[in-house]
Amino acid sequence: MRDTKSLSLLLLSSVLFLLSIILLCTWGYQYYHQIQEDRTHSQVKNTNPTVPDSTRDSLLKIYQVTMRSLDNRLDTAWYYADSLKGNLDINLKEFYRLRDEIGSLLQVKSPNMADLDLARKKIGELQQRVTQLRYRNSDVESENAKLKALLEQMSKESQGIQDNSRQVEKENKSLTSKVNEFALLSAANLNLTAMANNDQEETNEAEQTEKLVGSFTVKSNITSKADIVIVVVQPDGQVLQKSAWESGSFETGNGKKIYSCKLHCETSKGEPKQLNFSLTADRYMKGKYMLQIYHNGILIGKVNKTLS
Amino acid sequence: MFPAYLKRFFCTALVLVQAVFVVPAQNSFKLKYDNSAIYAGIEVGAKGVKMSILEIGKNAQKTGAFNVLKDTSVNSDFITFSPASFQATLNAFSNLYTQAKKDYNISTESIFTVISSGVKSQAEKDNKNSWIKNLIDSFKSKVNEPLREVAVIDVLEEAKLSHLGIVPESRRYTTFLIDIGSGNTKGGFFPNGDTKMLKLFQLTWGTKSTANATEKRCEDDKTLDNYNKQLARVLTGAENSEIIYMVNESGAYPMSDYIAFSGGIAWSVATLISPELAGNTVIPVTYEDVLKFSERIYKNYPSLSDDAIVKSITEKTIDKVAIAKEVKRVNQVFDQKSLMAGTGLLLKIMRQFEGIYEKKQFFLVKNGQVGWISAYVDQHIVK
Repeated sequence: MRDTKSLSLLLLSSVLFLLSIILLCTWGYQYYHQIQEDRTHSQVKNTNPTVPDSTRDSLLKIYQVTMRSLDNRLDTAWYYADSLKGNLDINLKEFYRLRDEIGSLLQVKSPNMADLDLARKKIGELQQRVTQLRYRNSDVESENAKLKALLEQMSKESQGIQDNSRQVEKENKSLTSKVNEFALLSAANLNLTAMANNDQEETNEAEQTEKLVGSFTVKSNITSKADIVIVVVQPDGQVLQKSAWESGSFETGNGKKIYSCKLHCETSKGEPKQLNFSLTADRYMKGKYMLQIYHNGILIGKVNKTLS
Repeated sequence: MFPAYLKRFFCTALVLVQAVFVVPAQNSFKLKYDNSAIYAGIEVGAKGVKMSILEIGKNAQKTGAFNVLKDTSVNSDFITFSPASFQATLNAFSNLYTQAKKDYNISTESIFTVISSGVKSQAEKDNKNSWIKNLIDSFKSKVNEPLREVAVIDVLEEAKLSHLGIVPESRRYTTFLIDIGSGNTKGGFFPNGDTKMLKLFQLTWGTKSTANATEKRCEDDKTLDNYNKQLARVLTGAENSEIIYMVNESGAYPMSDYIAFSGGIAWSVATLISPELAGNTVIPVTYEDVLKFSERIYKNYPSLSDDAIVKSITEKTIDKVAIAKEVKRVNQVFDQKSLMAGTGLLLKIMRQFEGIYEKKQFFLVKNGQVGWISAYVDQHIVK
């Protein structure tokens, strides 16, 4: 009986021992597993995390919107950026650099968190640059508008000056013509002489004549400047011209006439003024020479001289 | 063999025959001046060889008294510097020389032979100076005159000679001479009161280049209205980019009282504005005259026909046939559009000298093309 009791006790203690070993093993396994799990977890933390696609897409979207919003304005900025081109050039270079960097970051097939963070940061910077460019663009535009306004004002002013000067010139001309109309110029004491022997003596012989000298006095009812036109008609009806550079043609009531020479004079009101001229020809014909004096296309005096 | 009286008779007859047939050959020209002499200037130019028979008065330098009796040219295109053009030039050069000597009975001392600046500058550009030397040597050998002088003239000398030949002494230092050519405009004035130094003036615009630039701008719209509009734009461009600057730079405004224009367009405008002065080589004009004329070309071109012009002349003593011939010649050389272009360019240059208070006297020179050769001849005459 005593032997059966001790055997049962021995059996119970063995079972308990076995159970405790199993328990210990389980704890040990759990502990070991826990350590393994912790290690894997920390390793996972140090390696690639899985990033949801939505994050990358949203960043790409921000980037594209930023780019689109800039595109149109960028062109106008380039167009109007003449004077501020230096600064704009630097900003644009920065902008293009950022754009390329972001582009390349977002093009990576499996970007990690750090790349995306960098891309986010750069997009922020890009947006800042865009804002700067916008400001610069609006500066250029406002500067341009100011310059345009200034140019318009200046061209208006110069146009005004030109118009004024044209107006003044027109008025001057009409005044001069009015004054000339009122200027009653008369010619008196008309004289046409043929000179010979080096201007020493007067002659009536065509063969001896070396020069024709004319003189007359003019008198005006106002003080003015006047052009007196001299016409000396030779016996053959041709006008004797002083020289190609001094003769020309002028308008009369009967059409255009050739003149021998022109005299410019200033007349004082009521004061007679003597005017002289001389004409030289290669040869002098025999016959009647006719001196005609014109003012404003009107004949104001004439005299004849005959050479035999 | 013959009795003495027969010898005398034959001698007298020979002299009479010479007097009747040979001497009039030279005097068949209608001379303008008394105490004048006839000379020939033969010039090898860029396009061809030109011979001018000139009547030079006793005081040509003082009064500008020279008269063009004949003006002949042969196209030979020497500046292409090819064997064919060389031969053509040599033939033209020697034939004209022989013509002057034999047909017009001008003595060899009165014939002047020169190579123009156009040839010289092109030869320098293409490194073909030896061609000029060869031409001169071949010419001397062909006409059998080894001692003949054939001068080679440069641009400055030609401009200087043109001034001396065209402008009379009394106005030499107060006249700015501007030659409007087909491809460019050149000229100058003497700033120091002597003929040592000529201030050269040049523009890259000429009558033809202005017309070409306008045609190019017209594109498909070939109407006269569009031509007029485009011409105004071309001329404004030329004025703003070059004319204003070059005229200011020349310093001619304060130094000149007279502005004289030569060249084809000056001849045309002068002939059409003042047909009654057909015999005159120089025509005085005002800016307003040319402006009115320019409007007339555009708005009333038929009034510039020979018939219309002759009808408008009232003076009875004027040779209307000669005028009609000259007007016809102008209308053959310049059509309506070229006249508009040339006159427009002329006006733009004239405008630079049109001050509100100080006005310059303008002249159009008709025979400018022989100006320099006549001065050359005049300078080389043994007096």
